[in-house]
Amino acid sequence: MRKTTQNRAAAWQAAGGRRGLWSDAWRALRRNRAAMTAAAILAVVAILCAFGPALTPVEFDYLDWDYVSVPPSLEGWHFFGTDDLGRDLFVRTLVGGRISLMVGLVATAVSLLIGISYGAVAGYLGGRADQVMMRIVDILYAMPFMFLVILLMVLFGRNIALIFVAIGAINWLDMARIVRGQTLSIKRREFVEAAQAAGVSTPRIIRRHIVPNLFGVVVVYVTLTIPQVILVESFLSFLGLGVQEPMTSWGALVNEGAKELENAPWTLIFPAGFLAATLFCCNFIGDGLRDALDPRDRSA
Amino acid sequence: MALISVRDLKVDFSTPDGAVHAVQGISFDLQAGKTLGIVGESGSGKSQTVLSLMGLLADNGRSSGSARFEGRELIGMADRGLRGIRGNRIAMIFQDPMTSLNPYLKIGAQMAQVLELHEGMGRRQALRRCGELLEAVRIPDAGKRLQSWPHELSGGMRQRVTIATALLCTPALLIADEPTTALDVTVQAQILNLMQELRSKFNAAIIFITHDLGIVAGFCDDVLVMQDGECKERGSVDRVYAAPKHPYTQRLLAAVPRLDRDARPRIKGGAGAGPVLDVEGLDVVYSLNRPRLFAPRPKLKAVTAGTFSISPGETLGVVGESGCGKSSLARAVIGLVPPSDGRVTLLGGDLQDADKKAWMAARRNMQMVFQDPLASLNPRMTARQIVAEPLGACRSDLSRAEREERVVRILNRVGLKDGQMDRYPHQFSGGQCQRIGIARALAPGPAVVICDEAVSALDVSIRAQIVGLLMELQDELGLALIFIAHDLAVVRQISHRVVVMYLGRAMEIADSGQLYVRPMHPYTRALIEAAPIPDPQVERVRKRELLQGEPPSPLNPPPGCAFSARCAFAVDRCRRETPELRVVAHSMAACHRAEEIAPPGG
Repeated sequence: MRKTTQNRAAAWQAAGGRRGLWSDAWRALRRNRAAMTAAAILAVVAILCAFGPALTPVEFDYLDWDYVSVPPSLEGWHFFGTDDLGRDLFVRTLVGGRISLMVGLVATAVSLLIGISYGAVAGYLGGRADQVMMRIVDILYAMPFMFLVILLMVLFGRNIALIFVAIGAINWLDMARIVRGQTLSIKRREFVEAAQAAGVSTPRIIRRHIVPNLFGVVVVYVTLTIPQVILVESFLSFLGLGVQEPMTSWGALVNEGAKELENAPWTLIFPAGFLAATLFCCNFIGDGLRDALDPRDRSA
Repeated sequence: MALISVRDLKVDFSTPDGAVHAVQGISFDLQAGKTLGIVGESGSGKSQTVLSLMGLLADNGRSSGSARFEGRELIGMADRGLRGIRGNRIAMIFQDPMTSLNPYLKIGAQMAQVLELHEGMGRRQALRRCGELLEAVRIPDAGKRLQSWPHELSGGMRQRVTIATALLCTPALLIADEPTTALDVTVQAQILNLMQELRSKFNAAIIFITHDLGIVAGFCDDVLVMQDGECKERGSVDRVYAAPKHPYTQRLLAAVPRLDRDARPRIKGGAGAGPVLDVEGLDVVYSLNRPRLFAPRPKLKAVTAGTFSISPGETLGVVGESGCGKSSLARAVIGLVPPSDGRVTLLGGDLQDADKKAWMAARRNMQMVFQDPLASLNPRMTARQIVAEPLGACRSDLSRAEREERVVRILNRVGLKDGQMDRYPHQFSGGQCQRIGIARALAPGPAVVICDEAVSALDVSIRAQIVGLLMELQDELGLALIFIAHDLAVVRQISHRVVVMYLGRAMEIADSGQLYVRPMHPYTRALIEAAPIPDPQVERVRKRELLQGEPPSPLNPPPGCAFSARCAFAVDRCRRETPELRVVAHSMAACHRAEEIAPPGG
């Protein structure tokens, strides 16, 4: 059995491929059709959101009183129809997608940055430092999220940046807990002890030995966090705490569409479709990454 | 007629990377009451052979060939038919007694379900029979043990339970897959002894899978040597060991170190040069978690009064059963765990009150090789990066180019080719990984290298190569080695002096040549007697006084001599007074009665 493994490795070397963990994972991911399809769809959605509005002559906040609540048609650029104020839904959906995707990315990046450094340090130091750091997390957990958001709104007024801050401030707690748990188990692995015995300094051990080995879990968690964050933003917009008119997001659009469900169902269907497609894609990519990064799944 | 007759058995696995031929045409016959040993290194297909007999292959596995058992064909039998045979006519004992028992079921319930299933017994009758079998495997208080949870039993006791479970339906064939590998050597001897007795009592045939050629020599009638899924040699144990025909068998037998030879002579030089490392009265105490809020933390004394010194070019072996504190001793010496008392002097510098900077300097001179070759290497770093790391940490006196050149030189020296240096650990074999681990330890140019079970996880032939490499490097560089292992034969092969530890204390310190010939401490004697020797002639006539029981918990050591609870020679004084390490004849031993009970001669 060992022979064949070595042959395989040799074949890889001969083919000029450097057989690292990431290249292996990438190969496995590319074989996963569901994940690759999802990635392609997500890319199309992102590109549409980024460049689509610029390609149509209609502005997202332009009120066209000649076309109030018209169903989708190719006439007058209203591919997705218009809402009850005569605004073009196609452009609004794409502009809303910008906000939703941005919230997803920025809030996740914030939680990633804080969560990884906080969790890795707490887990690696252990003992009293760990106790104190994780109790702080517990206390923040106990804070009601809605209360925090309303408080921020009252203090600073309605501002989309506040949404990023609020969501990021809550989300890093989960990340910190996950990273800490993972760090605790990596810390006990022999290669960390070997680094200590070799005289490697603590920050360097965290940077070189702990964090790279966290990637597998973190990458997966990120793909699950992005949809979660987008949903939270939708929820806030639904409650009227999110983006401010005439700016919009998928959550806000779905909220408006829900009210018009009976006489203008397209105002719900299109934004909801984009939102659902994005969430599905993220979940499929997350599943694919999880399988690809787990060597046991790869070589079975 | 043979009980089981296997012809041209093949096992194939279909994997995404193509078919893997795990077993390629194995044939053997086995009579009732006889034992067949299947030996081979990891990945040789020995486990897959027996799993295919039981129909327990993984989903992507397929077996072909023929295996007739009691007149029925096992290969290709429907699952329903196999279930009637498994556990009933053929029973299996697994390697790890912890994982083969369900932690959520009491021993009695776990055993009884076998009888309820196969014999249709009622619960009460089944439990009575389980109690009888627990007695047969000599578990004290068998009746009470039926009500115990698996975690309440020690490793040896758990393995006895799995053996009793396997015997419940009086199977005709018992398959034991490395049943003693997870056990200490004294417990292993007990289990083997027990299996030998049960074999004659139940007249069962046994297939015994192991990597340990010593066990096969003493325990089996026939032996089948496997490599890469092929049978390399098959024959009676006497014939194969005395005159191995296949070159692989010859290599394998030559690679096994023997307890009754190959001691390393004491080094002559080194006099005048003082000890490179001196350890005095080292204590290591761990504080455990509080059992209740505000309760004091229980203290676990892992090492008590560890004292030794070591000269350049010398190897000090440290042996003992698991939990005896040998790893704690090593970790305290190198500063991975803080010692609670004692003094460590490295090259004349006291490390007791060393600050961070002093430790950095010390680490340049003292490095460590770890047990698990793969786990001790970061999976996301290349071999080159791994070896360069300690250089970056404690050899800032070297320029970048000098460091790089040094990394390449050391990796070449341990046997890695230039083209392999940018590979990741999972692309290397276990032996190669351990070579990288050794290269990493040698990179800063240390005076002392601590090897903590550095060869325990390796196959026999690889182990011999690594031990050879370590000895070569030692002679070349004048290294002082601290070699920690539970395998007495390997320790004997590489060590000049040996420390025997039990429950955190040194029981005996002696020259390697003397220790094995004339052990002064009863514990040393028991350890040596329990270790199997890969020679059927020697094994058969060896008389053994088996050590009873298992080491007590270090949380709750017995008063007086730590070994008194298991010692055949213990008297009242042993249970009252803790013996000090003192000079007895040619060695140091911690025993009140060393002179009286030492074997004559010397």
